[in-house]
Amino acid sequence: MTKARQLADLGNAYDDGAITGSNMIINGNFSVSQRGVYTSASSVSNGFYYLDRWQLEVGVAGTLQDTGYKVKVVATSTANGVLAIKQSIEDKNIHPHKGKVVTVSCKVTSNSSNARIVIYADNWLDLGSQNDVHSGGGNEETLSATFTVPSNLSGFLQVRIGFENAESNGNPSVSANDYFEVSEVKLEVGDTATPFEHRSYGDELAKCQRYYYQSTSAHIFYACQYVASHKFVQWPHPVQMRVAPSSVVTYSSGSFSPHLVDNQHFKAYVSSSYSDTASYYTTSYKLDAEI
Amino acid sequence: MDYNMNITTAQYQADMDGNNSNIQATVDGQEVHIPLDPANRHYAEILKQVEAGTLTVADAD
Repeated sequence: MTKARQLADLGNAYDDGAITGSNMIINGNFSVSQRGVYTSASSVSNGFYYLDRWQLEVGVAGTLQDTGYKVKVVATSTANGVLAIKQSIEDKNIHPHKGKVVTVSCKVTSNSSNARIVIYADNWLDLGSQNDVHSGGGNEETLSATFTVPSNLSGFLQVRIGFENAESNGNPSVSANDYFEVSEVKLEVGDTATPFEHRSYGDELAKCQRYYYQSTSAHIFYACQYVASHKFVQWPHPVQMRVAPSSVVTYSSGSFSPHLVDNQHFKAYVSSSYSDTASYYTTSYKLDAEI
Repeated sequence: MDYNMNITTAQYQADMDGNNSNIQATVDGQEVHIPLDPANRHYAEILKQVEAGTLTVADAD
């Protein structure tokens, strides 16, 4: 194989998004949805998560729908306010890129010229002319924004997409039935938006579970006798979580207390003696270490 | 707009040794056990609301 042929093949792989590892956005293709199925339009609440890693900013009433590797958000009222999806990138992941130029890109379809990318990094970043805004023509357009990650960033960096202006510009005017539909969100180092990279579902799920995971209907853990007076239930998280998670756990019976839960495992105990013949087990669990 | 969690109840939970190990709280209508880790978003919100004087965390039973 000639060098020219090798370079051509490499260029094709690049164009096809086969060169992976550069995207700091998790679930950028909206393939993971552990919390539920949203294939029908669902009303959204401010600050809630629906598809993994994506939080809703709701200043105008709206609905969200998983439209198949895309998410569609529709305003259901007319008002001045924000209606957007947002993802926070934790410090450990953005830290190596402080002071560097990065580019966020995504595909957006919208009937509103208020659909855009906004970046929050301790403060609202003025993206100026580097920030594309959707034409509102109803066709799929690739939006991108290039900016420098503040070298003194103290917290997380947040990528926001939807009906929103930078904070200093106030809230946009949103009309009922205005919508935006987003896919293939990518944040990468450099001043150029490159093709979206498709990770395997397993890889994407594992990345999401660093921030949240929950039981499936058939997945339970049994409590075992630990000392004469108590039984313990414990399990390791599927991946190391970002921080010690908040937990919502239900049990077959008994009053369990979480104990020394950390970012590697969950544990809870219940008062129960050896002679107690009842079975104690989890019936559901949700662990949340989101930002 | 800021997201203010709706926290209606909050109480420390003690472990078997009597030490506070987590907070049991009702957050947005759901009962949640929250570790005492400032990097946990629920605990950070509790600290914020306690600081603002809008929430009190009850002592453990």
